[in-house]
Formats: sequence, C-alpha cells, structure tokens
Amino acid sequence: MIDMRRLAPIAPLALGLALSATAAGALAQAGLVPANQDLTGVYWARSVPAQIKPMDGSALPYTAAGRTMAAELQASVKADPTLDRAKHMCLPAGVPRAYATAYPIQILSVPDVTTILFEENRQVHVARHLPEHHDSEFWDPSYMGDSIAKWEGDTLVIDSRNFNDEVFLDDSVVPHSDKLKVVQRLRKIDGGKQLEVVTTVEDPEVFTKPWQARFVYDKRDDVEVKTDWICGEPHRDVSQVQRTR
Amino acid sequence: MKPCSLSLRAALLGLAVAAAVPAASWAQAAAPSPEVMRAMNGLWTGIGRPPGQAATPAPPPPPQPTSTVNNNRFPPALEALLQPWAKAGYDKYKAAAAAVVDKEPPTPDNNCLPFGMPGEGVSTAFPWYLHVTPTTVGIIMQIDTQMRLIHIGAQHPADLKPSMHGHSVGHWEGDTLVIDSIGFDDRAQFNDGIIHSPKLHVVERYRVIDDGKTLEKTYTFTDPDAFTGPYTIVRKSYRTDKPFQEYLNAQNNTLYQCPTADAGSSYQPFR
Repeated sequence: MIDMRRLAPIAPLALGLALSATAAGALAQAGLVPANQDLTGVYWARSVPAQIKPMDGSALPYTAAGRTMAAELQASVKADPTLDRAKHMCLPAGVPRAYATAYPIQILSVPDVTTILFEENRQVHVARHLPEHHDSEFWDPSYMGDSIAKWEGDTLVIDSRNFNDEVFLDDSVVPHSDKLKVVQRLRKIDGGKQLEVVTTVEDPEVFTKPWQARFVYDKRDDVEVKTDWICGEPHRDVSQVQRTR
Repeated sequence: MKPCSLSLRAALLGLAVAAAVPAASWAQAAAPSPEVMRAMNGLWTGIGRPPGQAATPAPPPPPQPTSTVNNNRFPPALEALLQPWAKAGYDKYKAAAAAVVDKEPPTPDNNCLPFGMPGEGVSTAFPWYLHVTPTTVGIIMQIDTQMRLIHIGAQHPADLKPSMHGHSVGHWEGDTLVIDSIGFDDRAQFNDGIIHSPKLHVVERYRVIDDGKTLEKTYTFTDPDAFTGPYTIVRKSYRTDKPFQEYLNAQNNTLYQCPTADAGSSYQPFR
C-alpha cells in the first residue's frame, strides 16, 4: 500500500485545475454558430419532478384506451420492476423522461447537429438539422427516438418520434403508442444563465390532446459531465437537487 | 504485478496526473478558425477508405513500434511492448476468448460496460460524430452509444476518479487538435485483452487531410507500468453518410451479465 503522505508533494498540482474560465471565454468568441443559436454548455436542474405533469396543472389527458394501457403497464412493472429498463438496466429513458434528471447534461451545438448528452444512464440524444425523419419503415424504433431539429429564432425545436415500446414517459410508467411524437423547444432564458426545455407530447392513441411539460436548468460552467455511467456503480452526489411532486 | 488495490489505483492515478498535467500555455492556445472547426465536424467512420476511392492492396508491414495499419486490431508491435504482468493478463484473456463457443469475446463492452478508451478510439468501424466547438469537443460513437468529452483549454483535475474514457483536455496547434487523456479505469482495454495500468497516458493528434475527406488520428500511448516504451499508432477515418443509429449492447446482449442498478458490474479484467 502506498503511503498517501508521500504524495503530498504533488498536492500543489491540485491548484488551478478547474476549467480556465478565461481561456474558455476567449475560445468561445471563435464560435461556429450564431451566438443566439449556441446552446453549447453544461446544464443542471435544481429540481426535478417525481412525475412529469402538464405544465398547466391539469391531469394527464388520457384516452380511455390510454388509461387502460397505463393501468395494465403499471401493474406489470409493479409485479416485475425489471421491466423498467431505464431504471433497472440504466438503458436510455427516452424523452421527455430523460429531461427529468437530477444529473447534469451537456449540449453541443454544431452547424448540422445538436447533441444532448445526459450524464444519467449515458444517454445520447442526437438531433440532425434536417427537414425529414428517417423512413420509419426502414428505421428501427429506438429509446431516444429519431430526432430532427430546426431553429426558430433563438429556440431550437427538436422533433422526436419512432420510440421503442420499452420507453415510458416518466418514472411513474406513463405509456405511449407508436404514434408518439415529442417536440422539444430549447432556449436560453434569464440572460443565458438558464436553459428552458418545453416538451410537447402528442400521442392520439394514449392522450386526447397534446400536453406540455417544462424543465429548467442552470448553466454550469463549473461542472464537467461524466460520460461513463455504469449501472449500479457510485455516481456523483445529487442530494442538492430537489425532488418535487 | 498483482491487481491494484483501490487505494493503490488512486495513488497511481495521482502520479499519472502529476506526469500529464499539460503546460499552462495550453490554456492560452489560440482558438482555431471556424473553418478549421467546421472541417473537423461531422460524421466519420473508422474503417474504410475515402468515398469514391478504389480499394488498394494491403499496406506493407509497418515499422515498429509505430503502426499505420488501418484496421480494428492493434498490431503485434503493442504486444511486444507488454510488461510481464500485462503479457500474462493478455495471455489469460486470449485463453478465455479461445474457449468461448458461439459467444462474443469477454471484453468490457460485451459485459455491457462502456467500450472504453483507448480501444474505442482506434477500432470502431461504426459511424461516430465529431462535434467540435470552441470550448468542448464531443466524440459521439454509435458503438454502444458512447460519448467522450474533450475540454478545450482546461487542465486535468487533481481529484480525478478513474473512468472508462479517462479525462481529456485539448488544445489546438494550428489545424491540429491535440488531446491529452489520463485517469483511465483499468477495466478498459486496448482491444481483445490488452490491458493497461492506471498510469496510462494517451495523446491524440487529429487533423483533416485529403481535401476534407479524411481525418488522420495519431495516438501515442505511454504507460511505464504496462509497456516497456511508448507506442504510436496512426488511424484514418473517413467521412461517411452511413446513418448514425442507436446501438446498445445491453439491449440485446444475452451472452454476459450486464450490470444492473441493484448489482452493478461483475466484470473483472484479466490479470
């Protein structure tokens, strides 16, 4: 065993090892994309909802079939929690569920693609800036869906669809059909200090009408997103993130 | 050499940080022009040839220990550099892999761990995105849907915890992106069983050549505990229009035990 006291001489190297904000600021001036369309950065929520609910305060607008589907699915997951693959196997949660995370996220804005990296479950959400989705006949359903994006002024609009049937819309096991479409509107607010994501969920087989949920994150230049989440191993402390109902 | 205890791993990692902290001038390095970043951005694939170029005969055997062979295997030159304990681990891996019937090799990724550096960087034939921004470079790999982040102008933190991808900082030297990575989880491997110690230090140099069609990546690996000397390998990636699809070993893998939230991972590297 190494005597840790012998490592004391390298302690000074610990100083000043955080990201050099000055250097990063200087580099940021050489931007690739218009300043109002640059979401690159790390974002971290101060609170996350235990259940994703419509932002207008209403209940989820289930259809009769959707309510039945939810009851059956929730009973199945209660009987066998391993059916919740995101929770049990750390597989991607899909959207909007992935946005309800207590862990930081990294966004990378480049001219043709926007990618959102969720530290939790190492989820990768790639949105190509193209007008058309892949042909769903030849494109397998996936956890994070098939996503395209476009800019509307300073708002990035991501349109995701073609999710697989292991995706639930939130931790309380809200179901979806193959008609699910999730539009995500991302923009900086509060002078760039925060990121707002408003998701619109549309699934005519499960819900009578589209409904929206809102997520807000602080921009955190002092945080680096970790990229190798391994299920069941220790992760960063997120006790400061408030869980709301 | 025996397997490292956690405390020894942490101590060795600390020494690796001491050895690899980049010069302060890195943080002051000039930002590249948007054109340079734009040229490097895009979807690349690790194996193949530039679009439209005819197949060429296999290259002659490379000089050692530097290799330019463009495939998904580390050539024997690396094996020749292994310290005895690392060679013994590699031999154990090869024996275990040879005993496998109708299964994938017992690699970290086939146990649903991240593929991990350095193997992922040089061996994937699947498409991968390079997202180059002024402050952060992202490498987004289709294989097992993995990601690496390179922090431009930053320095390695002192309290680094080992990770499968290591911790990466970068700077620009003209049109070349230079990436310095340390802090590797020693469960990660080069590929097919070549292991490393917590002292592994990787320097990557990326530049776009061939009228923007090719990305040349030069890797230099240094690990005084695992290798008798530095090892350099050159790989080329090519622009691709292959679709980038979600790919998760854990989704369909029935060969090995994937980690779960309750049990974690049971994978242990061969030692």
